[in-house]
Amino acid sequence: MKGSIISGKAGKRKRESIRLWAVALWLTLWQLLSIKIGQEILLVSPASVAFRLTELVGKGDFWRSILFSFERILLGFTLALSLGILFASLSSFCRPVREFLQPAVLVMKSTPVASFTILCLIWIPSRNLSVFISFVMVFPVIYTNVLEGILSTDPQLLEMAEIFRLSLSRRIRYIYLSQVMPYFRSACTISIGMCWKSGIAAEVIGMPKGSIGEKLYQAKIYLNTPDLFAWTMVIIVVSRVFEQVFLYGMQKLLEKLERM
Amino acid sequence: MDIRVEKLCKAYGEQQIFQDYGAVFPEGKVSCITGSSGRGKTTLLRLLMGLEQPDGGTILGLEGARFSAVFQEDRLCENLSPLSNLRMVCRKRPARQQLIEQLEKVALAGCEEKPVRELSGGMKRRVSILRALLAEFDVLFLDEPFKGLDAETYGKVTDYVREQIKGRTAILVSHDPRDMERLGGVEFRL
Repeated sequence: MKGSIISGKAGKRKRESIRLWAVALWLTLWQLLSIKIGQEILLVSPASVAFRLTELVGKGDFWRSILFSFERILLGFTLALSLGILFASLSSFCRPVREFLQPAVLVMKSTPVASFTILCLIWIPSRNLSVFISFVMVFPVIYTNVLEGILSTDPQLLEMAEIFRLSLSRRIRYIYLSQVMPYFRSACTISIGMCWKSGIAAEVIGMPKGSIGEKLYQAKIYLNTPDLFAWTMVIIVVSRVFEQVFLYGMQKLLEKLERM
Repeated sequence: MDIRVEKLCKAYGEQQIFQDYGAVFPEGKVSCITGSSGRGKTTLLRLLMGLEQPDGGTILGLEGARFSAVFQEDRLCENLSPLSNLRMVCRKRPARQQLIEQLEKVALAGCEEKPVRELSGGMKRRVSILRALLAEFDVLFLDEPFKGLDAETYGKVTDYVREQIKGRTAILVSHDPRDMERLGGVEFRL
């Protein structure tokens, strides 16, 4: 649908898509560099990574590891999304809430993943570490962006809503949603990649059994470079697929809401 | 009930806009507030709508009344379609076809699904006018409602508005004497 509330002003400009020739060129450069170095342990070739990936996908343990990490990172992301929206809404009309949360959000934004991970290992079991870490990384992004979106809502539209005596649900659906959506969308795009990066980093430090992070760590200690690259590829693909599916689902949901 | 404005006072800093202003805007008729720029036409409208508070005086006859308005600016949700902008103010969910028929009456056929930001200034104005007419109201406020309309649509839209507000209370602010003639209103010169 053309007039989607999600598209906003950014909808006018098409997103730059990744060109196949550029990917092929990068892969060729990588292959040439790998041949030049001549030591797979230092720089594995893309062919070896592809071969290793085909070996891994046939194993049940590969899929179990993806599922293990995925469900925890997804849980952390969902919690951050829900609470980020909730607290941003509260903060938008209740200044004390905003002032109370400000230091916490600042700490979350500025603290390195490693510090949080090590600290959290004391409090929570390592298998749930990625839930907490992805939450901590995503929450401030969602909270800040949604709050900014709400606060920058055109006051003339709010005045119009006042005159027409629009109910709160209509104000949210027609005014706030259309104003906040561009902010929310960009926050989601940034934070999906971020929650994967931080979640896996936390797993590498905490090494919960059966996670992608554990596999990466093992690849590192055994100097198994093909595995390291193969798992990295998996993280990139899963993160990207998740991002695309999530944003597509969100767009459809909003279009449906708009037609209601 | 008539709208009675008595001893209205309003100032912005040193600038006195109204000093003991009084007027009676009759019920069921179109009242046209005219006057040169800076005389407080829009301010009076905002005071009547309750968007601003007077420094003194009283406004009677608007207690509990439902308002609708065409503002000086379009005040549309730019990312939404004209249909969504219209649905927003309709108390009961209108049928899609019903809204499309209304859009056709103000020469907006075929634009129903486009985001408002892609419409021209004149088209946005017509959506804004239609939105005001589709809302349930006791008093309609129109602040320069026909600005930006070309000669062809001006006639069509003013005819449509006149027909829709017949027998209803409307307060129009305009620079253009044609607006008052087209809507057949009583003039209040500031």
